Amino acid sequence: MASVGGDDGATLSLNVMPMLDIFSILLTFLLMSYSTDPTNHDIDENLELPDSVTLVTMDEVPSVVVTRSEIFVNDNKIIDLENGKVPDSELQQGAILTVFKELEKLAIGNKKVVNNLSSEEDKKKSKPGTLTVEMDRKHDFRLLRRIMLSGQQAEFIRFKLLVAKETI
Amino acid sequence: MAGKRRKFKKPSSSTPELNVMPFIDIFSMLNTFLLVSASFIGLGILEVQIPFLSNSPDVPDEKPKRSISIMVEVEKEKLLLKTSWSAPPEDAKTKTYEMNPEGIELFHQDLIQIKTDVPESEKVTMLTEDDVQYDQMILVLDSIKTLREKDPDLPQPPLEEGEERKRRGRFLYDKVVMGSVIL
Repeated sequence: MASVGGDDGATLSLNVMPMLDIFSILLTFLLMSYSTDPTNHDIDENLELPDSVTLVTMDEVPSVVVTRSEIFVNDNKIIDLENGKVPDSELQQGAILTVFKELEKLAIGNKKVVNNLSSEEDKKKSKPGTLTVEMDRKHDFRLLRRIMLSGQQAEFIRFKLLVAKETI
Repeated sequence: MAGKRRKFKKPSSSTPELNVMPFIDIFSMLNTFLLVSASFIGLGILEVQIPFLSNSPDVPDEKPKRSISIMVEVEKEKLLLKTSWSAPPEDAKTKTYEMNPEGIELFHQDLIQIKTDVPESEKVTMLTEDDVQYDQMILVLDSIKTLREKDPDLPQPPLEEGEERKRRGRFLYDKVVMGSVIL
């Protein structure tokens, strides 16, 4: 027991056992919920993910991030949204021109990486036409459709939509 | 030496105290580290496909002659589930559901029934209207793709190399094509 002494010689004892109990419980809980996933990703404070019951874990950091007011491709800000909508000047055939240009660069880079892979098995696993998208839950499907169309033009045909898992 | 007696210390009457301060120090450090590095939101993914045009030569069709087509139309207020067969009798059916938790649960149960009746069916085409909110769309996507704990066991797509079934979950319809994403 920890104790402190006063001028009069009397000691005051502090019972630290309850604190130790709390620490042990907290430590056990944190160790149990400690994530060992290799991919770690911080969510932007200007973005809230939709909830989902999926058990499929995120396996790559999202390339396209759509917050409430901006679109990022590979952490570079591409567009400012106006009330959750893409400005008309950015649109072309339903797709978003600047997003398409950035994704095209990404697709070329991905292809180069795949071509440099030595084994056929690695090439099969790499899935170059897949794009991970992180988007705020309050946006409408119109915006997602425009992003998917931009991806489609850059030869991305599979999309992984990032969600918050209801059960961890 | 022989005449000397070894002196033992008489045990004191007071109770011995364990110094718990080093424990507290270690616990504090560990707790701080774990609290800082813990992530309290689990991140998951829902994979979808979009239609695309290809220049590659035709692949011989290995599909059975009569196959079912499942189409889901998502509107702001309601959901439509349309099924039909590729060869007569087409047996086209349309069911409508309210866009609320009860309606989505009914829709999910009907999809389970279709998968139970036609286990070889593996694809759902989803047509979503532009004004549907993203989280509503995810809710519908969840009920198409994921089997919950209380749902019956259904045929599952093969696992990829090194993949664990528990981490991957159980699928109802793994393959979802976003039919409305086309130029």
